[in-house]
Amino acid sequence: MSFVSPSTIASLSTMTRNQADGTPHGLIKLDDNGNVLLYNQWESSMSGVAINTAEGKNFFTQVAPCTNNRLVYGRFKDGVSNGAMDQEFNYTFTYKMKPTNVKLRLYRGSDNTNWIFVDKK
Amino acid sequence: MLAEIQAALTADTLEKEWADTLAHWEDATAVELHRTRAWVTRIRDEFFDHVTDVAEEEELIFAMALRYIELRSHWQMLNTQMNYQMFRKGTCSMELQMRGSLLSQLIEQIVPFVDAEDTNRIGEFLLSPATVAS
Repeated sequence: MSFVSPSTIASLSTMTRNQADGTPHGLIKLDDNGNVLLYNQWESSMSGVAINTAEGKNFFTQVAPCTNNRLVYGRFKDGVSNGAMDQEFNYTFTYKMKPTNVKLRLYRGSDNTNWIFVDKK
Repeated sequence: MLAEIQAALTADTLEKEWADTLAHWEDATAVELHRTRAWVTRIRDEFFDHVTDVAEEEELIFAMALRYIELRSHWQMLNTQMNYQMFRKGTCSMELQMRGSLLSQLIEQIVPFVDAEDTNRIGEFLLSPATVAS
């Protein structure tokens, strides 16, 4: 069972900043090129990257370069290219932080929006 | 510049960060802790000896950029290895994770001595093979 609730998935198309900040896990909305459109408070606290620093930057090259590999960025590009993406897997962050094991979920909504969800394991 | 670099490499804050990170490794044996700490200390000490020998400001600017490339590359390889372990086995070596964190903390000490535009260019360059591959 995913750490992202079905109600969160159902509300993505109308997700406001307040709702995003109220979710109990990381939530990042990306355009098809990986640019950050929305970066929630949980994610900012976990990564140490301020919301206004992250938004507008490329997630894979500028915000979280540790995800710029086949495992994350490759899957993201495949998902965007295929028009469908819903994968959940374990990952480890170590850049500028103590080792942090997380679960990542890559998701593409029916309205063609892209999301990365993050939760500590 | 030399004195500032030496101070950054031997800063109490770096030592404390390393100690705090290693303390996070709760089930480590004394041997594992010692080996991991010795690993990052050796990298730092070699770096310290290098800048001390070079000492010329112009060379130091170049040396810092080169060392930044070296350590960022090293960290990137650790990051890839640990996450492929995670992908294939569902778990990854805690020692690898610790090395990644400790090394990134050392890299952070170097960043202020490397031109911001250079760090961006180096970052883009180091990520370009992955970007192309993916």
